[in-house]
Amino acid sequence: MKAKLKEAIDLLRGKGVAYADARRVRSVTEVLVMRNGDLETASLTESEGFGIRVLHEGAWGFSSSSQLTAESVTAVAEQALAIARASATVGEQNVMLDGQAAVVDSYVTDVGEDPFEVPLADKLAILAASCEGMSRSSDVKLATASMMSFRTDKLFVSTEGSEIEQSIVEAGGGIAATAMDGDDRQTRSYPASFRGDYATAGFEFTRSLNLAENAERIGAEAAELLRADDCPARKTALIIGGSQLALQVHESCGHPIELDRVFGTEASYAGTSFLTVDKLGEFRYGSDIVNIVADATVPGGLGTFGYDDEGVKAARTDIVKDGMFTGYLMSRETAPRIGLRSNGTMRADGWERIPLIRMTNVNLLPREGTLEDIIADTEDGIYAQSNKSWSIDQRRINFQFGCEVAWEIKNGKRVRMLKNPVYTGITPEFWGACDAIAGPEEWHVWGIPSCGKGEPGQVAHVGHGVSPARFRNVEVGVKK
Amino acid sequence: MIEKNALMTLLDDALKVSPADATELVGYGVASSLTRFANSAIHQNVHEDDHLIVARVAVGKRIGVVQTNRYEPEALRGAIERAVEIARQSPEQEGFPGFPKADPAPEVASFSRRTAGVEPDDRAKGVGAAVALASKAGVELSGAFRTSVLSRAVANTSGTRQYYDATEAFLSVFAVDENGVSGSSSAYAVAFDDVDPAGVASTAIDKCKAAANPIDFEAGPIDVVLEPRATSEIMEWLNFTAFGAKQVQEGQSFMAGRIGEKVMGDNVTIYDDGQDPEGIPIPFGFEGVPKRRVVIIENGIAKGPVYDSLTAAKDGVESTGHGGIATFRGGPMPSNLFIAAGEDSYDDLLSRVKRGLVITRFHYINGLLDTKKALFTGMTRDGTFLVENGKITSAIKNLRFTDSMLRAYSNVDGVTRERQISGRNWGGIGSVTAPAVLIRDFRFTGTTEF
Repeated sequence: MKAKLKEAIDLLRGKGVAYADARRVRSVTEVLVMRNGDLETASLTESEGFGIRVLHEGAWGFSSSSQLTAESVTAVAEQALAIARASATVGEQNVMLDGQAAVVDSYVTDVGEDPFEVPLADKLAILAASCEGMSRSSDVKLATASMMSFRTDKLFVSTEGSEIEQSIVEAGGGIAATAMDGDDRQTRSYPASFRGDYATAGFEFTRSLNLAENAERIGAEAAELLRADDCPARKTALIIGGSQLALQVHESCGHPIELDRVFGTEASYAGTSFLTVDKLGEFRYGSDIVNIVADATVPGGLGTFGYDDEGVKAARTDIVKDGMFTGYLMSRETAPRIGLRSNGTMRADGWERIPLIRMTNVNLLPREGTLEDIIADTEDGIYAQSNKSWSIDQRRINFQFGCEVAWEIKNGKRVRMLKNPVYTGITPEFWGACDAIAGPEEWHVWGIPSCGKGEPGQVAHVGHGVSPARFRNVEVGVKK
Repeated sequence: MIEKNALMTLLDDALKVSPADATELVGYGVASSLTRFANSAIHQNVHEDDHLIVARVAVGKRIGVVQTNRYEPEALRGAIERAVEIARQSPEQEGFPGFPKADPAPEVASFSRRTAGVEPDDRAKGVGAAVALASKAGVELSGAFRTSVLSRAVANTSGTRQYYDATEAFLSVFAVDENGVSGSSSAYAVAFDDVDPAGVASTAIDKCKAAANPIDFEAGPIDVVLEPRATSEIMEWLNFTAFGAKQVQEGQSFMAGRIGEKVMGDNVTIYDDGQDPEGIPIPFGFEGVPKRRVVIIENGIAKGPVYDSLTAAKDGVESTGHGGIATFRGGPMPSNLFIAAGEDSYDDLLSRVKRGLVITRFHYINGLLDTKKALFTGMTRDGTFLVENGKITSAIKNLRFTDSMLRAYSNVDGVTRERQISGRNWGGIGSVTAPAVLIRDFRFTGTTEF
């Protein structure tokens, strides 16, 4: 296939295009979902095809096909060029790419145990034990355990001479117990809600989650929530734990630093960003202790890879330094518009999609101490964890999150469990009120395998390293 | 995409040699082109062509599923064998009723040769016409213009054979002025020529102009006129959390335990109809069962969800033909949703508002806060207006709402005769056809800076 794609690239070069690249992607995804001990889903999804992207007359064209014949490759190349010509007819078109050296290299995820070689029976045994553990609480009416494994093999060639092969393996899983009593319905998840936690790793990561070992506790917590008080509405100190803080970073920092979004290319769909280019280096995003990096090199991060889908090497970039906004996620097209070079964040969801700027691992750097230290240091507040709902405006300013569970903190101690916690805020005010971030011993890169963006819709796998943090004077609950 | 006869032959031949006790093959193809524009220029212009086959096999009551986009006969046989291998290692699926034997689905008017023949230049011309209007009006345009050809085929060892193909043309336009104030509009149709880029752009530009200089507005309960797209966005979330049998059976839906009860206002009727040409017809679901018209809410009373064969067997009823693709976990869901028209004009609704708001559409709704109460949150966008004494008097900055949709739709005090079709916000073929509605005392809970 490499030879066919290189021929297509040669063909396009001969037609005088400014730039072209071709990607062949072969992917396999395994999804296993068990519900109350019944196997709800056991599916394997295989996809293979290629896409060709052409920059001509200052405008982009892209076409793709699952047909891997030489004739198809040529037809797709010519169609991509025709589409670029059509693009050039509307508006001012002068796309320029930054300068990048040609790369010939390969990258493979470090895998201990190939998830596709693990016997299905072993995986199902973990899921069954998890369901059984959650169901030990009689209030739990839905016990769900799931695992997903991914393998993506990519080949990238370009008119600049790059030839890059990558094989990325990802794995993980999660459990969720839903307890019900009349109209009350409460869910507890582990290690994170909505599919669990994922990493670029083999099945050793899925095993390390100890899903079955945590199942009974999660079931009991779901049942306990039925009897918990509703979280009262008030302004108070809010401590956010684990995966919920990962989502907070995702929505209120990760998306607004996408430079394509800043330049308006998502305006009609997912929106734009309040972090406009005049704010770069000038805007206080958070308090002095807030440091955020985008790092595609973190071992095991779900947003970790060797090269992005423009052939740019994975990188680490300061996003927020000592509270000041300092950097974006950028592509070869957008970076030069602010005098910079790509930091390697363009990824496509499969062969049939063009790469877009996507989060890598957007990480809140740890400070010191533990979650318990922060709780002990809090006179009056709420500790919330595990996401239940999320919503944010089209410039990423006003957000509202619901969590599965919270605990009221009084005089440095958890005094009672609370259900249905919701909090809301304005992004820079919220991060400006961050006054404690736990240390490296609590820091974990959470893998989110479901980040949506773009039209046609694309799903990216991204990571967020966080440790629990405290925010002062947050509006908790919903105003009546 | 594979042509109909070749596809059905491929599926038939594969069924004959399947080693499973029972086999279902679903083929679905998509050839889709999308021209995306921003800042009044095309920035993304793409085409994809793929054909997926999902093999769902049963070994006894043990189920395995493999999806592949390799459809050479030997590749398809290999996929079926891998599905059988998964099934053999899996526990039995409780209540598995077998693959349904279905009558042929009715023919529907879902295909336009014109749409199938659209070239990149055709979409570019449409975008160009829209951009020219924007330039004259002094605003910038963003949006997307998509044309697609889709096919769906189902064949199983129970004897079901179904095929249909469809086209869609979708245009969304977002106009923004120099201060970042926006307006938007969209159109969705089977036929490319039924989408009028200049008309859609004009509406978006007019909205943008009307939304200029928005004033601060305090959040709180207030009457609202929800325009059709705003209503459609709420309905899409109710589809996801409430209108499918799985959500009812698992106690997630507000309808769980409340079938036959009054849950919304007398003037609210919601139904799904895969054959109705006013929507985007889809005559059968992914199990090949023809779609029935299903009334979900009738005059405010919860009547029941849509079913696939598994959920229908659990409730002892017949499938309504809403089976989803086997790789999807969400269960059966409506995909051709309608809210019944009322008797009012849009101006009638406005005239009944002493002090309230007009909502053009919402952004980032989330309906997972409390699914039993249908408690939703979301932001307004692209034109939020203050109405005083029946007239729009100014634009306001966007607001966050947090409210129970059961409470809100119990307070409906007017429904328009005219309805508008919207495509599915999350992609995929299907539609919501909705009127504008007047809702009393809708609860806003937060503000933002624009």
